[in-house]
Amino acid sequence: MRMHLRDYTRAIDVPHYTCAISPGKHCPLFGVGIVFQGMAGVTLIYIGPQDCVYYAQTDTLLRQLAYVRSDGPQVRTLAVQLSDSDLIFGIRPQLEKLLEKEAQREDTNAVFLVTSCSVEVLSEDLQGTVDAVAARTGKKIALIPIENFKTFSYFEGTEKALAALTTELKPMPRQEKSFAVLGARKHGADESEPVRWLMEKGYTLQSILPYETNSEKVNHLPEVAFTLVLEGCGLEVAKQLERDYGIPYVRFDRRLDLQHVVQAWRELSVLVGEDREEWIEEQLCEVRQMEEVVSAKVSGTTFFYNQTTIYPFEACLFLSRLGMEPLCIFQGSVRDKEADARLALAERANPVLWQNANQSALRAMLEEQLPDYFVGATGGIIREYPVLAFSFPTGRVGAGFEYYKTCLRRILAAKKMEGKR
Amino acid sequence: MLKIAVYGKGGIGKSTTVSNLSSAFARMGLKVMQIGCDPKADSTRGLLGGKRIPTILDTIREGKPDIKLEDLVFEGADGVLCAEAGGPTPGRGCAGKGIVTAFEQLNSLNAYQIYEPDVVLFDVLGDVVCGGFAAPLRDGYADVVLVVTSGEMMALYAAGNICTAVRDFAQYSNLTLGGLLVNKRNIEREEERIAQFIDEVKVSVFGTIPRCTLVQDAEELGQTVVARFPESEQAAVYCDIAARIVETWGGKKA
Repeated sequence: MRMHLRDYTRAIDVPHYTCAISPGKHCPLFGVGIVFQGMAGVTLIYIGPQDCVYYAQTDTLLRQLAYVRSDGPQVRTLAVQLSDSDLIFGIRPQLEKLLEKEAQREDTNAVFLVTSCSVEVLSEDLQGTVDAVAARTGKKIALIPIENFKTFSYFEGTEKALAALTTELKPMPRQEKSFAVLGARKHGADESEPVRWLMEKGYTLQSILPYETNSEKVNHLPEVAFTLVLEGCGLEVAKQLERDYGIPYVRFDRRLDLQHVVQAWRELSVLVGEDREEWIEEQLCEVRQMEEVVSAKVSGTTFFYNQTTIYPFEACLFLSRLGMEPLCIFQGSVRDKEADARLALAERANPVLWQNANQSALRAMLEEQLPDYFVGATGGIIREYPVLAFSFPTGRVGAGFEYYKTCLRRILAAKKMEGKR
Repeated sequence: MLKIAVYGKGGIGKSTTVSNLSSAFARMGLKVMQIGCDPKADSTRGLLGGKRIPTILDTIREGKPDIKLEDLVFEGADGVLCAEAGGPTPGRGCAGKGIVTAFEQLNSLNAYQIYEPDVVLFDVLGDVVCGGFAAPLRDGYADVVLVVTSGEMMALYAAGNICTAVRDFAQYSNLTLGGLLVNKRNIEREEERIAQFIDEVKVSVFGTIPRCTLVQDAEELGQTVVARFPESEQAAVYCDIAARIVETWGGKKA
């Protein structure tokens, strides 16, 4: 059963081309480890069926190896496998014992209990258990409930983990010239356009959550003057900090919507108290010139979109405004948070939508209809087809006009490859 | 072997009815097995002098290495074989999954092949609230479903839900909705309400059990009316229903 953009209902309703995705990292369990990588003093307990907890634990450990110095801080990661008996009789008493034991470790400041689908189906009062142990031990213990079948998005896990990490912080006196970056999962946030400007203005970057932080920095989050959201998964925690501690936030994110970029810069200018209108106009002028150049080269071409870490509808709308037509979108771990971009894109085009797909699915779609461009990960198979491929940058954190311009350059770079293929 | 599942709203008198039917079947010379499918594990007390027996799930939980049928199935009055599925502490775990597991345990020990009962009665908790409590309806466990109800509105409401579930399962199996066992409460307009219900739900009344103080008298002694007051009119009602069940759906292969 095929779905086109104009038939879209919810992200989770978008059909899978194939179901060969297990153990897929689309599961929110995998989004949790991203937050806690390298966070010393934290114990992370995954609880669920064997496969779920094994792969979630392994992924967390691998992330530590990949992103943290080997002699750096380590999160203690445990995998607790449910037995048949646990499902029948429940898990509260055993879990309470385990949480208490972990909380009493000297090197543990906080324990996070991450539950999987089957635990959630049991619907036991785990929040009550967690609260009781926290009250008894005086340590921070938080529940991160994960239900993959409701979301199909690892972002949900990251969002929930960030929210759990930043709840119940103690209010602190505000440090006027300090800020925190939220949602950055990879390096580069400190070199991004808005952060560089703030540093030049004498602001102190208090922490980069989750990429470079620790329990101590998290506890001091309420003292920052404002936060910058550089990736979508930081948005909910930014709202939470604003709600609980009155800390304003500016959402930059990896957006490919110029209006949004301008708005973010204007909001930041107000917070810093410096008029940047002239600079914004300069940037807009430069971007529009670049857009004209790119549009002249790619207008009238078609593309498949498969870059799941960028907002797919917004990215496709961006390309569509350059004159490119989306034929097929593999939307991946998308959430229903792009309604405006989706509706705007639907007015211009009506591509086929698929959830995450593996290589055979990509190949099948390519055999059916060849686009001029392929945007995103291809696993190498694209080399077998006369299609130009490029990806938007995701290897490091980027934001603002700079990110927008980098994306335009990527398209031009791909176009230059045309003659060489 | 005739397998009957008895459903109905909580507190409507399922266990009392099932135990009395078990006694009645046994007194007809049939070999009877009664399996309580409720975490409260009190279905068979009326056949065991008010005593409780270890539940199947408790026995599994204890982790005994070599569970035998004798650990799970106990002989009660009139030779009725009694078993209780049991379940988790209220508010914990998954009782429905527990029932499925208890059934699997009995199957793995070849309970039905070894005991060769003529009639198996499943006394199932309340409503068909989830797949677990529907376990007696599937996998060939029950042939016939009887629904205990009174003329009270909520009892009829639950009975309506159960009939819907049974009909749904019946599409994919040989399951038969046997009808209602009306356990009268003597409330106002009870018969009129029941008549309206059977008309709307399109289900028949298989038997009517009048309200009688002997039921409570027997229960206080941990017995069934059929066993304690075998000559009473109330015992005759249960025996008549049991006889008609056998007549209608088979029972002992004779």
